[in-house]
Amino acid sequence: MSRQAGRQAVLLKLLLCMSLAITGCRGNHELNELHIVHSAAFDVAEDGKVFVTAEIARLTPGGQQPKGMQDQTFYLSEKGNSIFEAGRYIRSKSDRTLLWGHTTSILISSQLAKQGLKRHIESIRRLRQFRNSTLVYITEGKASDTLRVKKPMTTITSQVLRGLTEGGDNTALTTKVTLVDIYTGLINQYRDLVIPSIQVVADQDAGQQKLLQAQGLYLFQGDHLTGQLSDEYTKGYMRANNNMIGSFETVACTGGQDSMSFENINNRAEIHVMLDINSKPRTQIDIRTDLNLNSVQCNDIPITPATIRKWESQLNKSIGNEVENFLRYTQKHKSDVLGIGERLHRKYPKQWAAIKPRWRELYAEMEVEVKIHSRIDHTNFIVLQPDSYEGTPGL
Amino acid sequence: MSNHTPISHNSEHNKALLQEMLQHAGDLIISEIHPHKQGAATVCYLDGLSDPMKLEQMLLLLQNEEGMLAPFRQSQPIDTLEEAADLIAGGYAVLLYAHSGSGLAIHTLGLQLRSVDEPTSESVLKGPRSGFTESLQNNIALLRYHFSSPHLKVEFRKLGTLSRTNIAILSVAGLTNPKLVKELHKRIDEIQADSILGSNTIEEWITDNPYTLFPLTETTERPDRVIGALRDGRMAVVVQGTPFAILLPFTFLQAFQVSEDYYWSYYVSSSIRLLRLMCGLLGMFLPAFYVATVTFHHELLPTPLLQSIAAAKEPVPFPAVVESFAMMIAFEIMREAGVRMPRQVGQAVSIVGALILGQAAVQAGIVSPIMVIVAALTGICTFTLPPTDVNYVIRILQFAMTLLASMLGYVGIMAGFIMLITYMSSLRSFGIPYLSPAAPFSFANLTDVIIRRPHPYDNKLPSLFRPLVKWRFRRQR
Repeated sequence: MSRQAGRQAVLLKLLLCMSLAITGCRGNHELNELHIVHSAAFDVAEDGKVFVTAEIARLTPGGQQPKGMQDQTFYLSEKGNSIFEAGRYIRSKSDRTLLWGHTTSILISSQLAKQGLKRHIESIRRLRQFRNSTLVYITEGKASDTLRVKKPMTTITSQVLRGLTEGGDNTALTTKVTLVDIYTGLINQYRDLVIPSIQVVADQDAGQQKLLQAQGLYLFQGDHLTGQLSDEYTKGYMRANNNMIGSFETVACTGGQDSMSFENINNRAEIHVMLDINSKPRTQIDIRTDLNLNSVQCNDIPITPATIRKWESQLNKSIGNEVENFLRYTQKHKSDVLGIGERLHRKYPKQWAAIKPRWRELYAEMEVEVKIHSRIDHTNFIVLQPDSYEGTPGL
Repeated sequence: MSNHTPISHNSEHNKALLQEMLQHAGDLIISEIHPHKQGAATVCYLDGLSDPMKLEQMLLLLQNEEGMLAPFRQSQPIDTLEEAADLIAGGYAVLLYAHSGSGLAIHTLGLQLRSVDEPTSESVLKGPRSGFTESLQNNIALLRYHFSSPHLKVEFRKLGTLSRTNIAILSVAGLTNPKLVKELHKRIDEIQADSILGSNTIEEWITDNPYTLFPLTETTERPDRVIGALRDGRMAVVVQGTPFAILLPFTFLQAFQVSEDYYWSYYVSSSIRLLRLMCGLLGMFLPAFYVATVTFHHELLPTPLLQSIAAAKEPVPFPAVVESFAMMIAFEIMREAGVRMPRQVGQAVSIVGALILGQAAVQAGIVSPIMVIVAALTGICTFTLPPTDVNYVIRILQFAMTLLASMLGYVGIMAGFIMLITYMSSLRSFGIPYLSPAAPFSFANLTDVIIRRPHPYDNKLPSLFRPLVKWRFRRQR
């Protein structure tokens, strides 16, 4: 290699190395220049602006063992025309840069949700600060008040909320809705949104203290909040939407106040849609569900295949009511949360263009048939009732 | 020593010349003996370098049956006085016959040397425990003992215009590619060093690229490792005066192999090899990843982990990169001190190291405990690799990677990694691509580098080193 070429090669290498500096990969922040935001609450301010509250980790300084997620938090809030603006105003109150990327949960007040979520969700999406997996909740009252509730178990609200959401796997009274679910819901418009609700309830033991409770869902039509699903409706939604993991069912004994409780261990739903000759949509929902017997308070009922069959038909009826009531409620609010419209679209792509403009009306009038096929799997090896022990010596 | 002075018929003259050539050495012993009627002989040797037993035997034989002398001892006739001086300095005893003007050099070298010991730098749990010593003859004998094959080819050379160091080049006839052997001889011919200080002098002279950070040859103290290399079609250079033999050609992935891999069951060896590979990667990238993550990519950590790291880092006044450099340098200092210090003060240093650098530094809020963990893990990781130069190279590179990470985050690490891979794939060791068998890719060879095949199925020689035969053995079906 000649000297000239050698020099050019060195120059080229130098330029390549220098080009790294212009990749724009700056913006480093040391950890002790940051405040970690754990949860955010969005409210409507008095003057109609959006009011943002951030729950921020107050880190215990060193010398002691780090407390991890049991550490204290503090709150900063500010209003602005948009979430972004409010966030920047919050920065003017904060001594460090806020790191929004670790926000685990977002609380939105029902007042804000009634005005429409779209413009706020749009700004959250554009900011790219929040994780797609951030959990979203709607609160009855002011979201910031819910955030500030002093929790007896865990100090960080986001931790409480995440734990409550996981509880939905056992109760089917709440479900997990993340930002990405809301993005896809609003963009694709395959189905209307549901967002879990968070209530503040009084702790029955301590009296003074308050607790957070996750029960029920809020129903949306487009991006507007329209209704609230009660516990029963929520279970119906979870069944019909095929995202129930575990739950419980109770059936009354014949002629009495006692009841039997079942643990629901499995639930599969199939939704069949069809158009009849008049282009009227019809829906049939088949739900197969497996249950275990957990508690029998009824007297003198020997557990035989015949009684089990009887209970199964009782369960079919009560679960069927649950799902039908839920569907009727959504029809009343014209909120297609199961995505039946999209199923029709896929099944009848040609007819869909004609149906689409009238879809909400058609949905409200739609005929729905719910079929439940429940099965009792286990009685946990106990077939006799306590009362029947007495008269049978030798047992 | 270009001139040739023939052995004179005057013994006094011979003596005077020899004295002059050997700088009138105090330990040079020259004496006249009269074993036969034929005439006197002059015996010259260096005291201390010759074994008195051997000398005695030699003189006994000389007196009784001189004919036995030549074939019995490793001896060679000499013609010139320069040759005689050379051999005396090499530990021979020289007999000069003034009457016939001829001479005879007899090997009487006998020196108190270390006995065969367990190699300290490459200890194993399972496997042979013998290591090389400083004696070339012993080392070759040791190798022959472990590998008693007539195909073992040992070629002796003398290197260094001043030091006249003996070296031996080892290969397996019929297996090692003769082109490689020829190339090695050619490169050794080109060595102009006046003296050979251990094996590294030779390594640096014969390497393909003298300026590279990466070692293109490896050294070992273990005869079984040399044998392992030879049976793969590689070559070894054993140098007098050092227990470290050079193995070549060397490819990068071999830095993750140790001889012990072949002594454990193949599941154990394979998983340990994978562990070592992982440790190599961790050693190079862990501090860089830590720095990049806590200064650039906070979102990548799970929230509870970030919360813990942030809480630990709260009182630390330095940026993460300064912290990590401080800890890494402190670790290197401790390691170097550990190698250098006398064993008696070892405990003091380790207590100071553990307490001051670990606990007190954290309590004083100078470094965060997470950084101590990262630095310690990184340091320990590099110790899992056999003590080749690669070990040190990884330690040097971890600083470069950390620096890049502190400037550009993961992009910096990736840029560094790409540059590293590009550079490494341009290297060659005796014509063998340095990253092979990973690049150029060869699955068959890679299986015995990343994991270890069971011995009965390890019947194929690695084509990497271009051996003359393809199969170690044919499997009977």
